[in-house]
Amino acid sequence: MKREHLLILFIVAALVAWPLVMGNYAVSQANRAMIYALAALSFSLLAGRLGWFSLCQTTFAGISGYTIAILGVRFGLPFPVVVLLALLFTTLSAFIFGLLTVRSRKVSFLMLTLALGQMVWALSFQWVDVTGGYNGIAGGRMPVYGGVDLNDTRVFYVLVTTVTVAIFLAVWRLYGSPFGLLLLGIQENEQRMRALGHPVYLARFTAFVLAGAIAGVAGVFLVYDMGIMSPSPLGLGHAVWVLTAAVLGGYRSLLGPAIGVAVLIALETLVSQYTDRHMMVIGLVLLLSILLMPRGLAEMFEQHFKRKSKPQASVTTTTRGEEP
Amino acid sequence: MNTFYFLTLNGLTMAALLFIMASGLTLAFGLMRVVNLAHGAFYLLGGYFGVQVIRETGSLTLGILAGGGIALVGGLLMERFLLQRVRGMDLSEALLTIAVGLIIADALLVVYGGQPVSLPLPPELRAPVDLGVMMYPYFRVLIMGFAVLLGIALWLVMTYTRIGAAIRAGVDDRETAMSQGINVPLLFGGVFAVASFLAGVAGVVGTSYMSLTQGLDVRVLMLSLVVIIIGGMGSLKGAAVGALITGMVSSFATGYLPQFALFFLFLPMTLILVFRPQGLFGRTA
Repeated sequence: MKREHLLILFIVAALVAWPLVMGNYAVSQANRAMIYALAALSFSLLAGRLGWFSLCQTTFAGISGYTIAILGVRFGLPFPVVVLLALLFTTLSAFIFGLLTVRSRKVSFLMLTLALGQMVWALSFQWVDVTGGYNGIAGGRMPVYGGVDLNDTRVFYVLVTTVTVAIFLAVWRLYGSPFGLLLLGIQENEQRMRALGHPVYLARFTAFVLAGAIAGVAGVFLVYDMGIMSPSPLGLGHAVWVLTAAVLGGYRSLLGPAIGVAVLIALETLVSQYTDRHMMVIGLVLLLSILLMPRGLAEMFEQHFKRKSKPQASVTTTTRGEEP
Repeated sequence: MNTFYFLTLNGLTMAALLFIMASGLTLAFGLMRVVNLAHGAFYLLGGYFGVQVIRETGSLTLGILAGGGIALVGGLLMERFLLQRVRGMDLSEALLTIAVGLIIADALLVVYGGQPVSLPLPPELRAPVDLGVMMYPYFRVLIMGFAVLLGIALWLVMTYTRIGAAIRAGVDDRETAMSQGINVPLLFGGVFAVASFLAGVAGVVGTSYMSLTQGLDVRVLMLSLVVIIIGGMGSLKGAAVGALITGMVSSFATGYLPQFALFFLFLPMTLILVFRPQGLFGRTA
């Protein structure tokens, strides 16, 4: 059996065992971790493949969440319809943002996504008639199908985990596909890819919309997990949180962002017993990650493994980029 | 009609503040392609410290210098001890400044608390003066005057001095400038120091207009970015025009469409990005 199959088997076993062994609090923390792992995956799809650091992936999750809160709670549309509309609106927003950002270079992309994200945050904060402003919109709940309450922490866990794992597997396939390789090629040498006749802007644009859609799925779960939609998930704090998790875990690898999210949540849970300086902890983790381990935890483990055994194909894909 | 004049004057005051905030940022970016995303945190740092100094000494001038000074020290420390270690990796540099910004803002929350802080202005500076069309607070007129003087001073330095020529050369073509013997890293340290100083000064002065609160660092950073994206990054003229546009839009949107004020603030920037991505006075790369 190949190492990567063993790894997948281990992950699946751990995910199945978690709700059977752990208490409700740990399961709800895992739900949160799944949601943020999706957001971090959305971030690292752009950061790892294209060298594009986005500060608006949580904005897409927020747009998705607000769609559900406004249409579901305010207008009372049924569950499957609001979910579909949420994903539709998110993809549409990603389409628009993509058009605005597709030609930008690394640092200007970072600034642009920061500005666009803040613009939506501003709207969610100030357009009180529609969004409820600071107080947000409360009361969004998942339906009960045939006696199974999707709001139940453990049922919700099964749902979130299944969807998250499915999306991770899909992205794994994507990373290995010609399209995934094209994205890496664009990051490494855009001119050459263009010279070879590849549609560089279209590929970037497609990746951006795809990442937006993944963040949209995270937003669907986010709003039901919190039971309220407020401007805070759209703020810069959340965007930086996701960025930090991805950098910490290693945004170039598939599992890096998920590992980063898990470690960051564990760290926060631990630290919160002593201090409530969350932002400082995030800032320090980000600072130390950049200075000491720019390739992230996932790739450090990877290197460790490779030194011990013979090099093999693996779940993680690395590039030769010189970026952090 | 009075509202119109009032909003115009408020827009000009805002523009003046924005120019003080953004002028340094745009020069530092133009020179080294490093966008200092801790700029808002330096604003907040300068603001809190400056106001504290004013409260304790009663001197406004001392407070403004202290606010600028502490931001300058913070900026230099960050540049020397952190940014130098990731020099050349532009994304690492940007992320590093985000991290530093978060840490400073959270530390300020610990030291100064979450209560909004405003500037203790002496009554003679708060008093309104007659501008012909209407009465307007004296201190705001002073801020506008200061921004204009700052703009002129920066323009003179950039146009007529050797340092200015070196900076312009560095902004235009970093590699060639370095090959001509210009010490760009040293120059950058200097520009970065001035940029941080101006952020700190803006923090103290701006407190008469927007009180210091948690989260203001992000708002200030956003405003500065909007200004330099509109104007074109690296351009001083761009910062001035960008500040005017942003200040006016902000003031009139707050006056007439408060629910969309923040949203409208970003509208000019978005339009610029669509039709002229390099900004009004920026050059194409």
